[in-house]
Amino acid sequence: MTLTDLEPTQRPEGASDALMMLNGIRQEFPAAGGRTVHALDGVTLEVQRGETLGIVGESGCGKSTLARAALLLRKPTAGEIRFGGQDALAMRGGRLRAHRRRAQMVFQDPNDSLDPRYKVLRSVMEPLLAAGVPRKEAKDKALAALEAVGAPDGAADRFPHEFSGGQRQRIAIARAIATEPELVVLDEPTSALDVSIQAQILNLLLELQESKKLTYMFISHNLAVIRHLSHRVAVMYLGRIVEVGPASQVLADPLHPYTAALLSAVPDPDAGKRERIILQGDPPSPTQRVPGCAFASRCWLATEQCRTEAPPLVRTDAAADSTGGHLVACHRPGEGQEALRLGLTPASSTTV
Amino acid sequence: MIKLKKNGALIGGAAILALLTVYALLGPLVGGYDPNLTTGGPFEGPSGEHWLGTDNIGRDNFVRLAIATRYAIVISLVSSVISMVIGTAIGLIAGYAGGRLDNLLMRGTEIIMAIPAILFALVIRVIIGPGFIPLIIAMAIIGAPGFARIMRSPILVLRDRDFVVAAEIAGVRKPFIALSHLLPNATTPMLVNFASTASLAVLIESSLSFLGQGVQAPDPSAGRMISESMRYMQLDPLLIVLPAILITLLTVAWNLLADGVQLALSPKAGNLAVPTRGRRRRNRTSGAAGSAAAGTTVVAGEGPVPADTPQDDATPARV
Repeated sequence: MTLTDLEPTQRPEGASDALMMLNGIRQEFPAAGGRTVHALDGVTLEVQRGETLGIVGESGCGKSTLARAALLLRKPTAGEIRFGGQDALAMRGGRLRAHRRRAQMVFQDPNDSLDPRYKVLRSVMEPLLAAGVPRKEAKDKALAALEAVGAPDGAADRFPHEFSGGQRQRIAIARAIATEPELVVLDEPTSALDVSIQAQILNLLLELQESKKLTYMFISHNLAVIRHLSHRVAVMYLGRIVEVGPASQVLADPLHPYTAALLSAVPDPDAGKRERIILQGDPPSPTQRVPGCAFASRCWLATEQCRTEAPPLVRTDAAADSTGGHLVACHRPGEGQEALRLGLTPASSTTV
Repeated sequence: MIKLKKNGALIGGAAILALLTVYALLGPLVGGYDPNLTTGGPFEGPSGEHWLGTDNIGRDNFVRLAIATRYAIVISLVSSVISMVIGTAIGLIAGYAGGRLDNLLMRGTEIIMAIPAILFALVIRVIIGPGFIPLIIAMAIIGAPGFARIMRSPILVLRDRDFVVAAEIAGVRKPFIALSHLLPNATTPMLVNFASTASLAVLIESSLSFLGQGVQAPDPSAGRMISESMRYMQLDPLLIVLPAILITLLTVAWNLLADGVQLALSPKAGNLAVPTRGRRRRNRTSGAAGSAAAGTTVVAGEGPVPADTPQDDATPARV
């Protein structure tokens, strides 16, 4: 079984109440020479209860910054975060700590996300104790979480270095679910693992989502994994969301040329000769905010309008199902994929 | 957990210190003389009565040297402990808080470090007066900036490690994160610096005493014994050689201990439960063979662990 064979997950019916809303999040960092890095450039996103929202994009596009903003690690430069209807950025002190148990994170590298000097039980208990759970109860919950993720017997009293990468990631997941959170942010949870272990961890995540009614924000650059797990997909480019919608629509009928280019890069063993879009050049530096579409400098469809006027993230008639919540930020939505389908070779594509 | 067998520096340093401590504690009792009273003729050579001879006014060298050892050990140990507590706290706060506080604290330590240590100690002694406690305070202040700087850099790395971020996400309070995640993962540089600071403290204390600003008369101290005996150098060289040997032994012992601790706690020696990112403890021979097989150059001096480390001692504890 390869990951590309996995079927896309169907979106649960009636799942439409928002657990978390990110509204116009901007995150700027000071850079050398008095410049400013615009890591997040007005991200508006909604995470619905019980769903898995996949977030795709190339390295440095702001995926991890978005995850950290969503977990209230750093106050964004501008924007609003609502969690379960409450203004999350206004929380302070005790309320903030009480909130923290509702949103947890699983990191990419399980070697790094567990303190090497903490025994497993202490690591898993840490978020519970921080949330004010009494020690005895915290221990029971931590042991239950370890059992739920299938950690080996006696794991609780051992150190992280005694485990393999896959088992360590299971322990990290146990830590994340121990407080019974509503939202779990998964920051490339499988990309540091062997391929044979990846599928096990993904299936564990799916099982846990079902049994514990978890909401996932799943960050990855692996489209096959995103396709397997996500109900909805958001595509990021240079700190902006360029396309968001139901996974089945975004991944089958991409409206943004960047999404089309990403998808054409996924190897498909069954397809014969096919068009593959090779993007020219590098993404623009995040220290300069471009006035128009961030992708215009690499887009083969770009017009004068694209370079001067930033396209808003809106619903469009080009979508196959225009009522399905499929949004795109593009002045020429759907044309990229259309061209590929018709066999019209864009200037920068090659046949492989 | 710590392998002592191949760690000559650690054993040597600890042994010399232990011997000197025993001498400092028991010397006056065994010698049986009052260190500050004349108990024999001046400039007596070593004999059955005065094992290391007597000084210019007939005081017993063996007992005086033991008391000097007492002062040297206590002052270096206590001042280094105080330096460690203050300096580590500053480094931890500066490294974890970052930003302006970091800048402020680090510039402060630089100001202290920019002043020559002896001069600084003299100034402090002038301000807060003579005596044993002011001496220790002065030396503690001299040692603290070194700890602050040495602790700050590992903290800067550690604070961005995922397990620290995870604790922050979980809502663990920052002071608790600093003490339970950051500090325990940065103990190696702290302990190594402790031993080096103590060795430096021995030297500074002797220098101050030599200048008459350290341990006050009539109590003996290695530095003062040297300065008092300089006039009689031609007549009785032993009076200068003995305290010089004491200072040398103490500094060498502390430095050996620093080297030994460094080696013992080094992850490459396979002694510690994974303090570094990504590398699990493993046999150095297999590690070298592994990188050689992968076509990379084996870097010389990866850690002075002998290649004949027993295989079963260092096999990776994987499951």
